[in-house]
Amino acid sequence: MGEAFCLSIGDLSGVSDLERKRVMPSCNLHYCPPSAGGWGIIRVGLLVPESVMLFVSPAGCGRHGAIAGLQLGFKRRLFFLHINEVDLVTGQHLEKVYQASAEIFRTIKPKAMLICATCIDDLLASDYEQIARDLEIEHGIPVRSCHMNPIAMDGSTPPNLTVQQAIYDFVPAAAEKDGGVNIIGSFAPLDIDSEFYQVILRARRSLVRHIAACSNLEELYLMGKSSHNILVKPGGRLAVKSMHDKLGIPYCYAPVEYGIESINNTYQRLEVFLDTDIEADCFREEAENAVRLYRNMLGNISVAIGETANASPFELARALSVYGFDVPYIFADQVLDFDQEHINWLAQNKPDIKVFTNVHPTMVEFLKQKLTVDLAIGFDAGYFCSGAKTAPLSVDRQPYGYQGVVSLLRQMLQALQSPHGHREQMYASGMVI
Amino acid sequence: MKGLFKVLPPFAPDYSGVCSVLYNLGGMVVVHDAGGCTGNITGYDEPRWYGNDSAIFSSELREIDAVLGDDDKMIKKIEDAANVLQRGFIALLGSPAPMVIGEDYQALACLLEKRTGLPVMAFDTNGINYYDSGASMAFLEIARRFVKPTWGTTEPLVNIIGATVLDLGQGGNVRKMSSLLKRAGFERVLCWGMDAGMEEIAGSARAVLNVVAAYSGLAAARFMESEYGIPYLVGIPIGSAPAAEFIRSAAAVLGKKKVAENDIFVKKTCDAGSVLVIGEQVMSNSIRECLRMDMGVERVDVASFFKLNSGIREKGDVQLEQEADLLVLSKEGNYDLVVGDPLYRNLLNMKKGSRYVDFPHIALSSRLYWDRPINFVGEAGYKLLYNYCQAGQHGMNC
Repeated sequence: MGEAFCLSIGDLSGVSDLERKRVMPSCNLHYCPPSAGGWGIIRVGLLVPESVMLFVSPAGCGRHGAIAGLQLGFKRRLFFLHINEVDLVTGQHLEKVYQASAEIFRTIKPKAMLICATCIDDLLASDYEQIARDLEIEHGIPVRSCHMNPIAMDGSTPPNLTVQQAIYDFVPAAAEKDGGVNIIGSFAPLDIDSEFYQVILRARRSLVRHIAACSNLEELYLMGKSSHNILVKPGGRLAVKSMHDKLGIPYCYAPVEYGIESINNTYQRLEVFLDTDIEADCFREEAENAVRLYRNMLGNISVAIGETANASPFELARALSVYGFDVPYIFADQVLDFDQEHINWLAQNKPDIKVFTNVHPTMVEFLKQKLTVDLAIGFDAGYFCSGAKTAPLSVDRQPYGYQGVVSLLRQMLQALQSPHGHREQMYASGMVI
Repeated sequence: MKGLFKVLPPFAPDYSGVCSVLYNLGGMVVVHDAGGCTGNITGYDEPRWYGNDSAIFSSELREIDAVLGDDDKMIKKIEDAANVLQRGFIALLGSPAPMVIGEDYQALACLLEKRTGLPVMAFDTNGINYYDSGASMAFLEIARRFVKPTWGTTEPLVNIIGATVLDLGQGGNVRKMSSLLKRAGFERVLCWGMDAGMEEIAGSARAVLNVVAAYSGLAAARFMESEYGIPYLVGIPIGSAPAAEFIRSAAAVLGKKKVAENDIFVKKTCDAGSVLVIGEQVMSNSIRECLRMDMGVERVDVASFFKLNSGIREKGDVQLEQEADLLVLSKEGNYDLVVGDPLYRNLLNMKKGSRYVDFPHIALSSRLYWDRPINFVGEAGYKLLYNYCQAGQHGMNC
């Protein structure tokens, strides 16, 4: 058995590697571990309330999304138009989109619709934007196109970003702003116990809006009245740029973080961005107390961190290291600009950390290495460190701010005290690649 | 409307069928795709994937490579991985995107064979066809490429061809089939796609019988018959009387007259006069045999979205193409009982009082039921179906 490909944290730091966007060197086959995936394009697209999606593709492409839809309850809003070779050669499938849409409208009366195209239509340069415009006129409801096209993953418009752009494209411009704040990038609203709501309410007396909290299309439209967008996860960066250009809403990157100092710095940036005073010191103190408390309860545990966790694995590794936990392994595929500061800190202070990538072909035999840690954060870390207890820290919930630190520590303790079966928990989450 | 699916999820595609067959054979399978197709296979069509070291990879095709036709990059990726991972063969599978650019997989396979020194199989899969055609391609290719002639030497060996987890699941059904064949007098049973390794399969022309457990095994069995003169039986021994018949037929090939324990089985009558079985053809035919032989059901029709071979198709069997076909069939057929994957149930328009037997099929419902396998080989199949065949007994109303 060969050793799995891995880097030291130091290999990822430094000026020469600033341009590095992936942990795995280019030109390798791609391994797809059981723990791979996330919400997927379909589930994200269907965050638009009262919408349906017509997925246009060869039969195979939509299978994972449909099964996840059955598991998680959104399949009834999802329709498939299976296309064949003749359709592709003649372009007939584009005509069929109109027919299929008409049939869907005969069956149910959606208030909004997304048409999702795949890799093959990228290569054929099919114009789904025009089709969406036509359907909008024909049926009198908002229709947008989106793309599940991993073939464009390395370009400037990868599908995980463009789908978020598409869902916020339903938000119209508003003549008057009401001072609200939109949270963009996460799939769930910020946790209700996050202090963010309190500090914003105190500072601005304004509403905090999130797409998943909108129960109907009208509520989604109100996001256009907000005066500020706060980008909490990098997947929403095309969306906020587009909303800035189309709706005139400025944005600020204020990411989900777990380090006390990082959170403090982010609140300071938000003060400038929102042009208001943010009083969060008491929440900081609470979080610091919780860190001390949970650190004692958890003891000297070792923790592996994965990329499927609701965090930047590098920022999280830094935070946990500062709190006194041992972080020997990180599983990560991407390196974002945001990560570099944390990578550099880890390289300086925790140079022994090994970084594996989930996707390198040598990972297929990784389980034979039998890495041992006490706790894994993220399904991928839990899979590769198979003896560890797993805290999924999934993206189905969105911890934020100082309270996010408490939430993280609570989930770590829960995972250690009452662990769940990793496989069952992971498959139940309906993750799709 | 043809092609529009409002209720059912997409079926397992052809590349999943190929992977299912090759999964345990110690090779390196490369799906020429952007990643999503491979994710379909590993996440949703392969229940053995968790904790296993089977080598299935994506070539990670990107737009620029497709537009420029840059095959060298993919070849280098495969070559590098082959050098690191010691595997016995390479399989190259297609997906929708390379289909659009007319990728020539056979040519790539020739190049790869020269570069790596490993046997390379190429499968022109495209994600449009269903798993059964992919699995069929894979079984046939194995028979053609890897089975070695034995020049007339035989042994009491039987091959089961066509059994994949997509049709038969991971449960004990294949093991039970093997044990029935051993009771018939066979010393060795090789189940391609399940437990048999490539080396064992290479010697499988020594067999005196092939058992075809799914449509996907038919082409390979016919090839083995014409090439090596090995006869084949088609069917899964579901039910008591069919299991006894299965043992008798298999034993006859060995020149033995085997009396199965269940020969004394007394047929019970069933108050379901007409039954529709929805699913893969050989599985559905085998359920039909059980309903007829064990319970005396007179009318049993088979309907399938997958391929129906004319040689084993009966009058009244229906090739389904779209969801509406099933709706119409269920209404017009006036069936008392329907057997099929639970997901078909939502498509049916049945008469009042009719019942439905949940018979999960991974090629449709994927991970939704794969951890809840049902036993159907031998008497277990009879018990499962009989309970539902009695009005007021356990049956789920449609």
